[in-house]
Amino acid sequence: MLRLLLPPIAVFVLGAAVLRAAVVPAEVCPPLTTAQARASVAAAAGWLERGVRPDGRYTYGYDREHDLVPTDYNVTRHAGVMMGLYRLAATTGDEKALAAADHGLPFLRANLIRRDDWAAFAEPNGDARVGASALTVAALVHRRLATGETTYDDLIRELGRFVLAQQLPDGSVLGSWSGTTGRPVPGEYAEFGTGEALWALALAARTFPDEGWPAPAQRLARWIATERDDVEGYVLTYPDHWAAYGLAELAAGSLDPDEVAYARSLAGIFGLNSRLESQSGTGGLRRLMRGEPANGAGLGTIGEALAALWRLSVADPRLGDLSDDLAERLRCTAARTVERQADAAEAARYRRPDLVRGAWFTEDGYTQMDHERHPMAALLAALPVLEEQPPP
Amino acid sequence: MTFWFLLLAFAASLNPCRFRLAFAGRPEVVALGSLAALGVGAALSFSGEAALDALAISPESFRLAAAFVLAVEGVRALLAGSPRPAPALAGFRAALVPVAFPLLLQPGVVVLALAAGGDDVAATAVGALAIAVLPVVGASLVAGGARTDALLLAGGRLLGALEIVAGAALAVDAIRDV
Repeated sequence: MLRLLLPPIAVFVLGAAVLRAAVVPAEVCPPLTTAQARASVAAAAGWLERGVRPDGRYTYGYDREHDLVPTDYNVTRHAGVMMGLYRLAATTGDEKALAAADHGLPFLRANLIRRDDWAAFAEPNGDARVGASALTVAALVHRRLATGETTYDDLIRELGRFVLAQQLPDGSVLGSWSGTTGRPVPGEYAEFGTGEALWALALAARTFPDEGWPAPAQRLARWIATERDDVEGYVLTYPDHWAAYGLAELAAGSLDPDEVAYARSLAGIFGLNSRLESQSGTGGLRRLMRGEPANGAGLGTIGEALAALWRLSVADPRLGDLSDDLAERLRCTAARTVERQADAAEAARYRRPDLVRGAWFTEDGYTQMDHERHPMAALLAALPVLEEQPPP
Repeated sequence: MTFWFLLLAFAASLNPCRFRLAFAGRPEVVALGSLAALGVGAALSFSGEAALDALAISPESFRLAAAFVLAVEGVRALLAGSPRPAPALAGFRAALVPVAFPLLLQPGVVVLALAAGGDDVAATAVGALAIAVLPVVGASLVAGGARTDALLLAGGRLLGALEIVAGAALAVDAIRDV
Protein backbone atom coordinates (compact mmCIF):
# COMPACT_ATOMS: atom_id res chain seq x y z
CA MET A 1 0.00 0.00 0.00
CA LEU A 2 2.81 2.37 0.90
CA ARG A 3 4.38 1.69 -2.50
CA LEU A 4 1.12 2.75 -4.17
CA LEU A 5 0.74 5.87 -2.10
CA LEU A 6 4.28 7.12 -2.10
CA PRO A 7 4.30 8.85 -5.55
CA PRO A 8 1.05 10.82 -5.08
CA ILE A 9 2.01 11.72 -1.51
CA ALA A 10 5.37 12.95 -2.78
CA VAL A 11 3.55 15.12 -5.34
CA PHE A 12 1.36 16.60 -2.58
CA VAL A 13 4.26 17.30 -0.24
CA LEU A 14 6.44 18.80 -2.94
CA GLY A 15 3.55 20.82 -4.33
CA ALA A 16 2.64 22.12 -0.88
CA ALA A 17 6.26 23.14 -0.27
CA VAL A 18 6.42 25.01 -3.58
CA LEU A 19 3.10 26.73 -2.89
CA ARG A 20 4.19 27.75 0.58
CA ALA A 21 7.52 29.13 -0.58
CA ALA A 22 6.50 30.76 -3.84
CA VAL A 23 2.81 31.57 -3.75
CA VAL A 24 1.59 31.84 -0.16
CA PRO A 25 4.33 32.50 2.38
CA ALA A 26 2.99 33.38 5.82
CA GLU A 27 1.61 36.90 6.08
CA VAL A 28 3.41 38.46 9.01
CA CYS A 29 1.44 41.15 10.81
CA PRO A 30 3.07 42.12 14.12
CA PRO A 31 0.96 43.58 16.92
CA LEU A 32 0.75 47.36 17.03
CA THR A 33 -0.54 49.66 19.73
CA THR A 34 -1.83 53.17 19.17
CA ALA A 35 1.02 54.49 21.32
CA GLN A 36 3.59 52.79 19.07
CA ALA A 37 1.94 54.26 15.98
CA ARG A 38 1.89 57.73 17.50
CA ALA A 39 5.54 57.42 18.49
CA SER A 40 6.41 56.35 14.97
CA VAL A 41 4.56 59.34 13.50
CA ALA A 42 6.44 61.63 15.87
CA ALA A 43 9.78 60.07 14.95
CA ALA A 44 9.08 60.43 11.22
CA ALA A 45 7.97 64.02 11.71
CA GLY A 46 11.16 64.60 13.71
CA TRP A 47 13.27 63.43 10.77
CA LEU A 48 11.49 65.90 8.47
CA GLU A 49 11.61 68.72 11.02
CA ARG A 50 15.33 68.25 11.63
CA GLY A 51 15.77 68.50 7.87
CA VAL A 52 14.69 72.14 7.70
CA ARG A 53 17.44 74.04 5.89
CA PRO A 54 18.30 77.75 5.84
CA ASP A 55 17.37 78.08 2.16
CA GLY A 56 13.76 77.06 2.82
CA ARG A 57 14.20 73.55 1.54
CA TYR A 58 14.26 70.26 3.45
CA THR A 59 16.88 67.52 3.62
CA TYR A 60 16.18 65.53 0.48
CA GLY A 61 17.68 62.20 1.50
CA TYR A 62 20.52 60.37 3.17
CA ASP A 63 22.76 57.46 2.28
CA ARG A 64 23.73 56.10 5.67
CA GLU A 65 26.21 53.58 4.31
CA HIS A 66 28.30 56.29 2.62
CA ASP A 67 27.28 59.18 4.86
CA LEU A 68 26.08 61.20 1.87
CA VAL A 69 23.30 63.74 1.59
CA PRO A 70 22.30 64.02 -2.07
CA THR A 71 22.17 67.39 -3.78
CA ASP A 72 19.01 66.43 -5.74
CA TYR A 73 15.81 68.29 -5.11
CA ASN A 74 12.28 68.04 -6.36
CA VAL A 75 9.51 70.59 -5.90
CA THR A 76 6.75 67.95 -5.90
CA ARG A 77 8.37 66.23 -2.95
CA HIS A 78 8.90 69.61 -1.28
CA ALA A 79 5.16 70.22 -1.57
CA GLY A 80 4.55 66.69 -0.30
CA VAL A 81 6.62 67.29 2.82
CA MET A 82 4.83 70.55 3.53
CA MET A 83 1.49 68.82 3.02
CA GLY A 84 2.44 65.97 5.34
CA LEU A 85 3.57 68.29 8.10
CA TYR A 86 0.51 70.56 7.78
CA ARG A 87 -1.70 67.50 7.86
CA LEU A 88 -0.02 66.33 11.03
CA ALA A 89 -0.52 69.79 12.53
CA ALA A 90 -4.17 69.83 11.45
CA THR A 91 -4.80 66.39 12.94
CA THR A 92 -2.84 66.60 16.18
CA GLY A 93 -2.16 70.30 16.74
CA ASP A 94 1.59 69.65 16.53
CA GLU A 95 3.15 73.15 16.62
CA LYS A 96 6.61 71.96 15.61
CA ALA A 97 5.19 70.33 12.50
CA LEU A 98 3.36 73.55 11.65
CA ALA A 99 6.53 75.60 12.05
CA ALA A 100 8.56 73.17 9.93
CA ALA A 101 5.93 73.22 7.20
CA ASP A 102 5.79 77.01 7.25
CA HIS A 103 9.54 76.98 6.80
CA GLY A 104 8.98 75.64 3.29
CA LEU A 105 6.78 78.56 2.26
CA PRO A 106 9.57 80.95 1.14
CA PHE A 107 10.94 78.27 -1.23
CA LEU A 108 7.42 77.77 -2.55
CA ARG A 109 6.90 81.50 -3.11
CA ALA A 110 10.28 81.83 -4.79
CA ASN A 111 9.38 79.13 -7.30
CA LEU A 112 5.90 80.21 -8.24
CA ILE A 113 5.24 81.16 -11.82
CA ARG A 114 2.15 83.13 -12.72
CA ARG A 115 0.31 83.32 -16.05
CA ASP A 116 -3.16 84.61 -16.78
CA ASP A 117 -5.16 83.89 -13.63
CA TRP A 118 -3.17 80.93 -12.35
CA ALA A 119 -0.02 80.16 -10.40
CA ALA A 120 2.08 77.00 -10.48
CA PHE A 121 4.82 75.66 -8.24
CA ALA A 122 7.51 75.16 -10.87
CA GLU A 123 10.90 73.55 -11.18
CA PRO A 124 13.83 75.99 -11.31
CA ASN A 125 13.92 75.58 -15.12
CA GLY A 126 10.42 77.03 -15.37
CA ASP A 127 8.59 73.80 -16.23
CA ALA A 128 5.64 73.01 -14.03
CA ARG A 129 4.30 69.59 -13.16
CA VAL A 130 0.68 69.44 -12.15
CA GLY A 131 1.45 67.25 -9.13
CA ALA A 132 3.60 69.87 -7.41
CA SER A 133 0.85 72.47 -7.57
CA ALA A 134 -1.83 69.97 -6.64
CA LEU A 135 0.09 68.89 -3.54
CA THR A 136 0.64 72.53 -2.66
CA VAL A 137 -3.13 73.04 -2.77
CA ALA A 138 -3.42 70.09 -0.39
CA ALA A 139 -0.68 71.54 1.82
CA LEU A 140 -2.29 74.96 2.06
CA VAL A 141 -5.77 73.57 2.64
CA HIS A 142 -4.35 71.60 5.57
CA ARG A 143 -2.55 74.70 6.80
CA ARG A 144 -5.94 76.41 6.78
CA LEU A 145 -7.37 73.52 8.78
CA ALA A 146 -4.45 73.62 11.22
CA THR A 147 -4.47 77.37 11.82
CA GLY A 148 -7.91 78.59 10.86
CA GLU A 149 -6.15 81.29 8.83
CA THR A 150 -7.33 82.28 5.37
CA THR A 151 -4.02 83.93 4.45
CA TYR A 152 -3.31 81.57 1.58
CA ASP A 153 -6.83 81.18 0.20
CA ASP A 154 -6.04 83.22 -2.90
CA LEU A 155 -2.92 81.16 -3.57
CA ILE A 156 -4.96 77.95 -3.16
CA ARG A 157 -7.36 79.28 -5.79
CA GLU A 158 -4.53 80.32 -8.13
CA LEU A 159 -2.86 76.92 -7.87
CA GLY A 160 -6.21 75.24 -8.35
CA ARG A 161 -6.75 77.27 -11.51
CA PHE A 162 -3.43 75.93 -12.84
CA VAL A 163 -4.84 72.42 -12.42
CA LEU A 164 -7.96 73.58 -14.27
CA ALA A 165 -5.78 75.07 -17.04
CA GLN A 166 -4.25 71.63 -17.50
CA GLN A 167 -7.65 69.92 -17.64
CA LEU A 168 -8.98 68.78 -21.01
CA PRO A 169 -12.66 68.69 -21.99
CA ASP A 170 -12.82 64.94 -21.33
CA GLY A 171 -11.89 65.58 -17.69
CA SER A 172 -8.29 64.34 -17.89
CA VAL A 173 -5.43 66.50 -16.68
CA LEU A 174 -2.18 66.95 -18.59
CA GLY A 175 0.87 66.29 -16.46
CA SER A 176 3.17 69.16 -17.41
CA TRP A 177 3.31 72.75 -18.50
CA SER A 178 6.35 73.83 -20.51
CA GLY A 179 8.16 76.99 -19.56
CA THR A 180 9.67 77.01 -23.05
CA THR A 181 6.43 76.93 -25.06
CA GLY A 182 4.25 78.52 -22.42
CA ARG A 183 1.67 75.76 -22.95
CA PRO A 184 0.62 72.46 -21.44
CA VAL A 185 2.62 69.57 -22.90
CA PRO A 186 0.10 67.71 -25.10
CA GLY A 187 -0.49 63.98 -24.67
CA GLU A 188 1.60 63.68 -21.54
CA TYR A 189 -0.05 62.45 -18.37
CA ALA A 190 1.66 62.28 -15.00
CA GLU A 191 1.91 58.93 -13.25
CA PHE A 192 0.76 60.36 -9.94
CA GLY A 193 -0.13 63.92 -10.98
CA THR A 194 -3.59 62.90 -12.16
CA GLY A 195 -4.58 61.50 -8.78
CA GLU A 196 -2.94 64.43 -7.00
CA ALA A 197 -4.98 66.78 -9.19
CA LEU A 198 -8.17 64.96 -8.22
CA TRP A 199 -7.36 65.31 -4.55
CA ALA A 200 -6.53 69.01 -4.97
CA LEU A 201 -9.77 69.74 -6.81
CA ALA A 202 -11.78 67.73 -4.27
CA LEU A 203 -10.15 69.65 -1.42
CA ALA A 204 -10.82 72.95 -3.19
CA ALA A 205 -14.42 71.87 -3.68
CA ARG A 206 -14.75 71.14 0.02
CA THR A 207 -12.97 74.34 1.07
CA PHE A 208 -14.77 76.66 -1.35
CA PRO A 209 -18.03 74.83 -2.06
CA ASP A 210 -19.70 77.72 -3.90
CA GLU A 211 -16.90 78.51 -6.32
CA GLY A 212 -17.38 75.93 -9.05
CA TRP A 213 -14.72 73.42 -7.98
CA PRO A 214 -16.96 70.35 -7.61
CA ALA A 215 -17.76 70.02 -11.35
CA PRO A 216 -14.15 69.74 -12.61
CA ALA A 217 -13.33 67.44 -9.69
CA GLN A 218 -16.21 65.16 -10.66
CA ARG A 219 -15.23 65.24 -14.34
CA LEU A 220 -11.70 64.19 -13.42
CA ALA A 221 -12.97 61.48 -11.06
CA ARG A 222 -15.11 60.10 -13.85
CA TRP A 223 -12.19 60.09 -16.31
CA ILE A 224 -9.95 58.33 -13.81
CA ALA A 225 -12.63 55.76 -13.07
CA THR A 226 -13.60 55.01 -16.65
CA GLU A 227 -10.74 55.88 -19.02
CA ARG A 228 -7.45 56.50 -17.27
CA ASP A 229 -6.17 52.92 -17.15
CA ASP A 230 -6.91 52.38 -20.85
CA VAL A 231 -5.47 55.71 -21.97
CA GLU A 232 -2.31 55.31 -19.89
CA GLY A 233 -1.92 51.63 -20.80
CA TYR A 234 -2.40 49.88 -17.47
CA VAL A 235 -3.66 46.29 -17.64
CA LEU A 236 -4.81 46.18 -14.04
CA THR A 237 -6.17 49.13 -12.12
CA TYR A 238 -3.21 51.40 -11.50
CA PRO A 239 -2.52 51.52 -7.74
CA ASP A 240 -2.89 55.27 -7.34
CA HIS A 241 -3.15 56.21 -3.69
CA TRP A 242 -3.75 59.84 -4.63
CA ALA A 243 -6.87 58.84 -6.52
CA ALA A 244 -8.00 57.07 -3.33
CA TYR A 245 -7.47 60.31 -1.41
CA GLY A 246 -9.44 62.18 -4.06
CA LEU A 247 -12.39 59.80 -4.03
CA ALA A 248 -12.48 59.86 -0.23
CA GLU A 249 -12.51 63.65 -0.26
CA LEU A 250 -15.39 64.01 -2.70
CA ALA A 251 -18.65 64.45 -0.90
CA ALA A 252 -20.01 61.15 0.46
CA GLY A 253 -22.63 59.71 -1.83
CA SER A 254 -21.54 61.83 -4.80
CA LEU A 255 -19.73 58.98 -6.57
CA ASP A 256 -21.47 57.46 -9.56
CA PRO A 257 -21.59 53.66 -10.00
CA ASP A 258 -18.46 53.63 -12.20
CA GLU A 259 -16.54 55.54 -9.56
CA VAL A 260 -17.76 53.16 -6.86
CA ALA A 261 -16.60 50.24 -9.03
CA TYR A 262 -13.24 51.95 -9.50
CA ALA A 263 -12.89 52.50 -5.74
CA ARG A 264 -13.60 48.81 -5.29
CA SER A 265 -10.86 47.96 -7.82
CA LEU A 266 -8.44 50.25 -6.03
CA ALA A 267 -9.28 48.55 -2.75
CA GLY A 268 -8.57 45.20 -4.38
CA ILE A 269 -5.22 46.19 -5.82
CA PHE A 270 -4.05 47.82 -2.60
CA GLY A 271 -5.34 44.85 -0.61
CA LEU A 272 -3.26 42.60 -2.83
CA ASN A 273 -0.24 44.88 -2.44
CA SER A 274 -0.68 44.80 1.31
CA ARG A 275 -0.89 41.01 1.37
CA LEU A 276 2.14 40.60 -0.86
CA GLU A 277 4.08 43.09 1.22
CA SER A 278 3.23 41.19 4.40
CA GLN A 279 4.71 38.07 2.79
CA SER A 280 8.02 39.77 2.11
CA GLY A 281 11.06 39.77 4.33
CA THR A 282 14.68 40.77 4.46
CA GLY A 283 16.19 37.30 4.34
CA GLY A 284 15.85 33.67 3.36
CA LEU A 285 13.16 32.35 1.08
CA ARG A 286 10.97 35.40 1.62
CA ARG A 287 13.66 37.67 0.25
CA LEU A 288 14.31 35.25 -2.61
CA MET A 289 10.68 34.85 -3.61
CA ARG A 290 9.32 38.33 -2.94
CA GLY A 291 12.36 40.46 -3.70
CA GLU A 292 13.38 43.53 -1.75
CA PRO A 293 10.72 44.59 0.75
CA ALA A 294 8.86 47.80 -0.08
CA ASN A 295 10.71 50.99 0.81
CA GLY A 296 9.22 53.60 3.12
CA ALA A 297 7.35 55.36 0.34
CA GLY A 298 6.00 52.07 -0.96
CA LEU A 299 4.82 50.97 2.47
CA GLY A 300 3.38 54.39 3.17
CA THR A 301 1.43 54.69 -0.05
CA ILE A 302 -0.19 51.29 0.53
CA GLY A 303 -1.22 52.42 3.99
CA GLU A 304 -2.41 55.81 2.78
CA ALA A 305 -4.57 54.25 0.09
CA LEU A 306 -6.04 51.67 2.45
CA ALA A 307 -6.81 54.39 4.99
CA ALA A 308 -8.45 56.66 2.41
CA LEU A 309 -10.51 53.80 1.00
CA TRP A 310 -11.48 52.68 4.50
CA ARG A 311 -12.70 56.22 5.18
CA LEU A 312 -14.65 56.13 1.93
CA SER A 313 -16.09 52.70 2.71
CA VAL A 314 -17.38 53.96 6.05
CA ALA A 315 -18.92 57.04 4.42
CA ASP A 316 -20.48 55.33 1.40
CA PRO A 317 -22.72 52.34 2.16
CA ARG A 318 -22.15 50.95 -1.34
CA LEU A 319 -18.60 50.14 -0.22
CA GLY A 320 -19.48 49.27 3.35
CA ASP A 321 -18.79 45.57 2.83
CA LEU A 322 -15.09 46.42 2.37
CA SER A 323 -14.63 48.28 5.66
CA ASP A 324 -13.56 45.39 7.86
CA ASP A 325 -11.12 43.93 5.35
CA LEU A 326 -9.63 47.35 4.60
CA ALA A 327 -9.21 47.98 8.32
CA GLU A 328 -7.50 44.61 8.76
CA ARG A 329 -5.08 45.24 5.90
CA LEU A 330 -4.41 48.74 7.19
CA ARG A 331 -3.60 47.45 10.68
CA CYS A 332 -1.16 44.96 9.20
CA THR A 333 0.52 47.46 6.88
CA ALA A 334 0.76 50.01 9.70
CA ALA A 335 2.36 47.45 12.00
CA ARG A 336 4.91 46.45 9.39
CA THR A 337 5.62 50.11 8.68
CA VAL A 338 6.39 50.82 12.33
CA GLU A 339 8.54 47.72 12.56
CA ARG A 340 10.75 48.82 9.68
CA GLN A 341 11.46 52.32 10.98
CA ALA A 342 14.98 53.02 12.24
CA ASP A 343 14.95 53.65 15.99
CA ALA A 344 17.46 55.46 18.18
CA ALA A 345 19.49 52.31 18.88
CA GLU A 346 19.85 51.57 15.18
CA ALA A 347 20.64 55.21 14.44
CA ALA A 348 23.44 55.22 16.99
CA ARG A 349 25.42 52.82 14.82
CA TYR A 350 25.79 55.41 12.06
CA ARG A 351 27.86 58.53 11.70
CA ARG A 352 24.88 60.92 11.68
CA PRO A 353 22.20 59.43 13.91
CA ASP A 354 19.89 62.40 13.39
CA LEU A 355 19.63 61.52 9.71
CA VAL A 356 18.83 57.90 10.53
CA ARG A 357 16.46 58.01 13.50
CA GLY A 358 12.81 57.94 12.46
CA ALA A 359 13.58 57.12 8.82
CA TRP A 360 12.90 54.14 6.58
CA PHE A 361 15.89 52.86 4.63
CA THR A 362 16.16 50.72 1.55
CA GLU A 363 18.32 47.61 1.64
CA ASP A 364 21.25 49.60 0.31
CA GLY A 365 20.92 52.13 3.10
CA TYR A 366 19.20 55.04 1.36
CA THR A 367 16.24 57.14 2.40
CA GLN A 368 14.65 60.26 1.00
CA MET A 369 11.97 62.65 2.20
CA ASP A 370 9.05 60.74 0.67
CA HIS A 371 10.17 57.57 2.49
CA GLU A 372 9.31 59.39 5.69
CA ARG A 373 6.38 61.49 4.55
CA HIS A 374 4.24 58.67 3.17
CA PRO A 375 4.58 56.36 6.19
CA MET A 376 3.89 59.30 8.49
CA ALA A 377 0.66 60.07 6.62
CA ALA A 378 -0.33 56.42 6.55
CA LEU A 379 0.18 55.93 10.28
CA LEU A 380 -1.63 59.15 11.08
CA ALA A 381 -4.57 58.01 8.98
CA ALA A 382 -4.48 54.55 10.57
CA LEU A 383 -4.93 55.89 14.11
CA PRO A 384 -8.77 55.78 14.04
CA VAL A 385 -8.62 52.15 12.90
CA LEU A 386 -6.15 51.27 15.65
CA GLU A 387 -8.32 53.10 18.18
CA GLU A 388 -11.45 51.50 16.73
CA GLN A 389 -12.93 54.94 16.19
CA PRO A 390 -14.92 56.19 13.21
CA PRO A 391 -12.96 58.19 10.63
CA PRO A 392 -12.58 61.92 11.30
CA MET B 1 -17.03 31.59 -4.24
CA THR B 2 -20.52 30.72 -5.35
CA PHE B 3 -22.09 27.27 -5.39
CA TRP B 4 -22.04 27.17 -9.19
CA PHE B 5 -18.40 28.14 -9.40
CA LEU B 6 -17.48 25.50 -6.83
CA LEU B 7 -19.55 22.89 -8.63
CA LEU B 8 -17.81 23.56 -11.96
CA ALA B 9 -14.35 23.81 -10.42
CA PHE B 10 -14.78 20.60 -8.39
CA ALA B 11 -16.20 18.78 -11.42
CA ALA B 12 -13.27 19.92 -13.56
CA SER B 13 -10.71 18.93 -10.95
CA LEU B 14 -12.33 15.55 -10.26
CA ASN B 15 -12.40 15.07 -14.03
CA PRO B 16 -14.67 12.02 -14.32
CA CYS B 17 -13.40 11.29 -17.84
CA ARG B 18 -9.78 10.91 -16.78
CA PHE B 19 -10.93 9.10 -13.66
CA ARG B 20 -12.73 6.51 -15.76
CA LEU B 21 -9.63 6.02 -17.92
CA ALA B 22 -7.48 5.51 -14.83
CA PHE B 23 -9.88 3.25 -12.95
CA ALA B 24 -12.24 0.76 -14.51
CA GLY B 25 -13.40 -0.88 -11.30
CA ARG B 26 -16.91 -1.67 -10.08
CA PRO B 27 -19.37 1.23 -9.63
CA GLU B 28 -20.03 0.32 -6.00
CA VAL B 29 -16.31 0.66 -5.26
CA VAL B 30 -16.31 4.05 -6.96
CA ALA B 31 -19.39 5.10 -5.01
CA LEU B 32 -17.77 4.09 -1.75
CA GLY B 33 -14.53 5.88 -2.67
CA SER B 34 -16.53 8.97 -3.63
CA LEU B 35 -18.15 8.98 -0.21
CA ALA B 36 -14.73 8.73 1.42
CA ALA B 37 -13.43 11.58 -0.74
CA LEU B 38 -16.51 13.63 0.09
CA GLY B 39 -15.88 13.02 3.79
CA VAL B 40 -12.29 14.17 3.54
CA GLY B 41 -13.35 17.13 1.39
CA ALA B 42 -15.91 18.13 4.01
CA ALA B 43 -13.32 17.83 6.78
CA LEU B 44 -10.92 20.01 4.80
CA SER B 45 -13.62 22.59 4.09
CA PHE B 46 -14.78 22.86 7.67
CA SER B 47 -11.22 23.10 8.93
CA GLY B 48 -10.14 25.49 6.15
CA GLU B 49 -10.43 28.67 8.18
CA ALA B 50 -8.48 27.23 11.11
CA ALA B 51 -5.86 25.75 8.80
CA LEU B 52 -5.30 29.06 6.99
CA ASP B 53 -5.15 30.90 10.31
CA ALA B 54 -2.55 28.45 11.57
CA LEU B 55 -0.51 28.93 8.40
CA ALA B 56 -0.92 32.75 8.59
CA ILE B 57 -2.42 32.90 5.12
CA SER B 58 -5.33 35.20 4.34
CA PRO B 59 -8.24 33.56 2.49
CA GLU B 60 -7.71 35.95 -0.43
CA SER B 61 -4.06 34.93 -0.81
CA PHE B 62 -4.93 31.27 -0.53
CA ARG B 63 -7.46 31.71 -3.32
CA LEU B 64 -4.55 32.78 -5.49
CA ALA B 65 -2.69 29.60 -4.54
CA ALA B 66 -5.78 27.52 -5.32
CA ALA B 67 -6.05 29.25 -8.68
CA PHE B 68 -2.44 28.36 -9.42
CA VAL B 69 -3.03 24.70 -8.54
CA LEU B 70 -6.21 24.52 -10.64
CA ALA B 71 -4.42 26.05 -13.61
CA VAL B 72 -1.46 23.65 -13.39
CA GLU B 73 -3.78 20.68 -12.96
CA GLY B 74 -5.91 21.90 -15.87
CA VAL B 75 -2.89 22.23 -18.15
CA ARG B 76 -1.87 18.70 -17.26
CA ALA B 77 -5.34 17.36 -18.08
CA LEU B 78 -5.42 19.35 -21.29
CA LEU B 79 -2.04 18.27 -22.60
CA ALA B 80 -1.30 14.86 -21.09
CA GLY B 81 -2.22 11.66 -22.85
CA SER B 82 -4.52 9.00 -21.53
CA PRO B 83 -3.72 8.18 -17.89
CA ARG B 84 -2.37 4.73 -17.14
CA PRO B 85 -4.64 2.46 -15.12
CA ALA B 86 -3.99 3.23 -11.45
CA PRO B 87 -2.64 0.38 -9.32
CA ALA B 88 -5.37 -0.60 -6.89
CA LEU B 89 -5.77 -2.39 -3.58
CA ALA B 90 -7.81 -5.55 -3.76
CA GLY B 91 -11.60 -5.66 -3.37
CA PHE B 92 -13.44 -2.88 -1.61
CA ARG B 93 -10.18 -1.47 -0.30
CA ALA B 94 -9.77 -0.04 -3.81
CA ALA B 95 -12.37 2.52 -2.72
CA LEU B 96 -9.62 4.06 -0.60
CA VAL B 97 -6.64 3.49 -2.93
CA PRO B 98 -6.80 4.56 -5.69
CA VAL B 99 -10.39 5.85 -5.89
CA ALA B 100 -10.49 8.25 -2.94
CA PHE B 101 -6.78 8.90 -3.04
CA PRO B 102 -5.13 9.81 -5.30
CA LEU B 103 -7.75 9.82 -8.07
CA LEU B 104 -10.52 11.89 -6.44
CA LEU B 105 -8.62 13.85 -3.83
CA GLN B 106 -6.71 15.69 -6.49
CA PRO B 107 -4.61 18.71 -5.43
CA GLY B 108 -7.25 20.95 -6.99
CA VAL B 109 -10.03 19.41 -4.92
CA VAL B 110 -7.98 19.75 -1.74
CA VAL B 111 -7.07 23.42 -2.26
CA LEU B 112 -10.60 24.33 -3.36
CA ALA B 113 -12.05 22.72 -0.25
CA LEU B 114 -9.58 24.58 1.98
CA ALA B 115 -10.12 27.85 0.11
CA ALA B 116 -13.89 27.53 0.45
CA GLY B 117 -13.48 26.91 4.17
CA GLY B 118 -11.28 29.99 4.45
CA ASP B 119 -13.97 31.99 2.66
CA ASP B 120 -16.60 30.78 5.10
CA VAL B 121 -18.55 28.81 2.49
CA ALA B 122 -17.66 25.31 3.71
CA ALA B 123 -21.22 24.01 3.62
CA THR B 124 -21.68 25.32 0.07
CA ALA B 125 -18.46 23.61 -0.95
CA VAL B 126 -19.54 20.29 0.54
CA GLY B 127 -22.84 20.54 -1.32
CA ALA B 128 -21.04 21.30 -4.58
CA LEU B 129 -18.56 18.48 -4.05
CA ALA B 130 -21.37 16.04 -3.27
CA ILE B 131 -22.94 16.81 -6.63
CA ALA B 132 -19.62 16.97 -8.48
CA VAL B 133 -18.74 13.38 -7.53
CA LEU B 134 -21.96 12.04 -9.11
CA PRO B 135 -20.56 12.17 -12.69
CA VAL B 136 -17.57 10.20 -11.40
CA VAL B 137 -19.88 7.44 -10.24
CA GLY B 138 -21.80 7.78 -13.51
CA ALA B 139 -18.62 7.45 -15.56
CA SER B 140 -17.82 4.17 -13.82
CA LEU B 141 -20.99 2.72 -15.38
CA VAL B 142 -19.65 3.38 -18.87
CA ALA B 143 -18.32 0.30 -20.60
CA GLY B 144 -14.79 0.55 -21.93
CA GLY B 145 -13.67 0.31 -25.56
CA ALA B 146 -11.41 2.11 -27.99
CA ARG B 147 -14.06 4.58 -29.12
CA THR B 148 -15.23 5.23 -25.55
CA ASP B 149 -11.66 5.78 -24.41
CA ALA B 150 -11.09 8.32 -27.18
CA LEU B 151 -14.23 10.16 -26.19
CA LEU B 152 -13.23 10.07 -22.53
CA LEU B 153 -9.80 11.46 -23.38
CA ALA B 154 -11.38 14.32 -25.34
CA GLY B 155 -13.80 14.94 -22.48
CA GLY B 156 -10.89 14.92 -20.03
CA ARG B 157 -9.16 17.57 -22.09
CA LEU B 158 -12.29 19.68 -22.21
CA LEU B 159 -12.57 19.48 -18.43
CA GLY B 160 -8.88 20.41 -18.23
CA ALA B 161 -9.64 23.55 -20.21
CA LEU B 162 -12.57 24.28 -17.92
CA GLU B 163 -10.28 23.88 -14.93
CA ILE B 164 -7.86 26.44 -16.37
CA VAL B 165 -10.75 28.88 -16.83
CA ALA B 166 -11.86 28.21 -13.26
CA GLY B 167 -8.30 28.88 -12.07
CA ALA B 168 -8.15 32.13 -14.02
CA ALA B 169 -11.50 33.26 -12.63
CA LEU B 170 -10.37 32.46 -9.10
CA ALA B 171 -7.12 34.35 -9.64
CA VAL B 172 -8.97 37.43 -10.88
CA ASP B 173 -11.27 37.20 -7.89
CA ALA B 174 -8.30 36.91 -5.52
CA ILE B 175 -6.58 39.90 -7.11
CA ARG B 176 -9.70 42.05 -6.99
CA ASP B 177 -10.55 41.15 -3.42
CA VAL B 178 -9.22 43.17 -0.51
